[in-house]
Amino acid sequence: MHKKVVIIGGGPAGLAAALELWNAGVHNIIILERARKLGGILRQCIHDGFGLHRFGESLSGPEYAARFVSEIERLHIPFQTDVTVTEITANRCVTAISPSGRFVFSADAVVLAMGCRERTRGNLGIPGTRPAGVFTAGAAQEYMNLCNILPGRRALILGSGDIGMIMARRLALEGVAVIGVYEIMAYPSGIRRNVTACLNDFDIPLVLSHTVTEIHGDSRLEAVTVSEVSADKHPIPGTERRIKCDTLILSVGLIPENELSEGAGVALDPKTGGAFVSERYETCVPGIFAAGNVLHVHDLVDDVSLEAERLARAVIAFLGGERASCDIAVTAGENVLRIVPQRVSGDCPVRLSFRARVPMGECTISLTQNGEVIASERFAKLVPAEMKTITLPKLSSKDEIRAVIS
Amino acid sequence: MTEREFACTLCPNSCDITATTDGTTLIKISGNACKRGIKYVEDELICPTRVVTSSALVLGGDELLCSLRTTKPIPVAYAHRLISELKYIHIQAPIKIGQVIIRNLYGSGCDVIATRNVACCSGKDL
Repeated sequence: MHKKVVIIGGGPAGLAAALELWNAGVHNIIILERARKLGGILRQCIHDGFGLHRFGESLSGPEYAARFVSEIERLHIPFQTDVTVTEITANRCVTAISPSGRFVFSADAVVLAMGCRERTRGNLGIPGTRPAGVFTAGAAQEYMNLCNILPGRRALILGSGDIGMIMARRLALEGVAVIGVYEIMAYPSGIRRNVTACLNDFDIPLVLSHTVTEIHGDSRLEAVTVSEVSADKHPIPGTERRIKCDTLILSVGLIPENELSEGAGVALDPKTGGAFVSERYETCVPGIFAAGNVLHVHDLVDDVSLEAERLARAVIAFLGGERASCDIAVTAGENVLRIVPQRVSGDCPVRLSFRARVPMGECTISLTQNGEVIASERFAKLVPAEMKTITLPKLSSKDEIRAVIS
Repeated sequence: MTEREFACTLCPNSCDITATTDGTTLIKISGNACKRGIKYVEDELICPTRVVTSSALVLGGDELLCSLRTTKPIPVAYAHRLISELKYIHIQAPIKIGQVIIRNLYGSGCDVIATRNVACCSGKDL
């Protein structure tokens, strides 16, 4: 089956890209979604705070998703749920399986919108036994908010990512004893309003510079050992404390889900975990584009939607035969954790998204070329938990752009 | 007089606000990017309010649960009470986003509304 565009993933990025493409007259498209409904992770994010930028009001995740899904349904934009993409090739053949069989699509353009995955206990390598009761925050959220299953009675949360703090509140509200949120860094890793609204409001302790160093229990989790960590994040011997709990919730970071992308030969940026992309959101494989959390993990869904819309406009240009040579590298320099996109043409202004490596007070991000500052912006503060943007102007030279924060 | 730190929860800017207060009276404020920050701190001093979100069981729907939220922020102190009362609520499908589930909660003028569209059960496995 031939499609102009195949969109992989029916979450916020895929939905926004599909709508933007459709509204520009690109109708031979399809969204492929693994779950039984569209909406992606928003379906289980029942807390509010979504859409403040985009809709000017504070919506819950399902409401935010529904704004897009209703449009998709009203316009009869083709989508298929319960379908898992198993392979994407460099020449844009997409293989998918579903209960009704196997499909192969050939596409002029493929949009990667698969989102991200949570890091697990396996990624951290926490020593100890392997009992039930150890969940990622997203898994616990799905159990509670979609499946009506309470994960446990006495929970400790490792990692102060946003989902971890939101789950701490959710568990506390549902009557679970939440012992505390333990964070390995010396500062909370989620956005600050969540520390207030999720932890302080419910008297949930936030314990910084601590981590879980052992898991105890046979069939079910019985306790964890927590230890204080040194500045280089190593557990300090002698600080171990054993804490009784039947549930350990991990909110220890997200990784863009790029197994399929790699199969197509898409090169990944070790800093973001997502593809290296041009200002057109095109990966190193022509005709394969990426946006949203599969490209780099965002804090706000509003930004994901906006990015996917910019991607869609680039796909439209690509389908119209436009090819831009984006060969000016953009690299993350001092105090910059990562920056996207990583390649630009220099022919037009480009909005770059970046994160600081460490929390910083008053500071300036500068984009430099040959040691000369091309653009800079002052910030009252920057924290790794909050992604910011800066606009790179049109360039006169083709030399590398370096972003530094000082 | 005491100095207190606040992280404004009204928008993703999460302004770090420093406020000098005398009990529940705001004397001096800094760090807020907009004037909503002043109102936020004043409210925090007197009676902190939040939008409360939760869910309730669905009858005859293609989802087990329907997510809910208050239409306005309510005092934090009422959050637990609301959540425990929601355990006894069952909502008959179909449900539309914005449908009022509890009207005029505790006489506050604020409603609890559905935040998920739930269709009637099609007979397929959930």
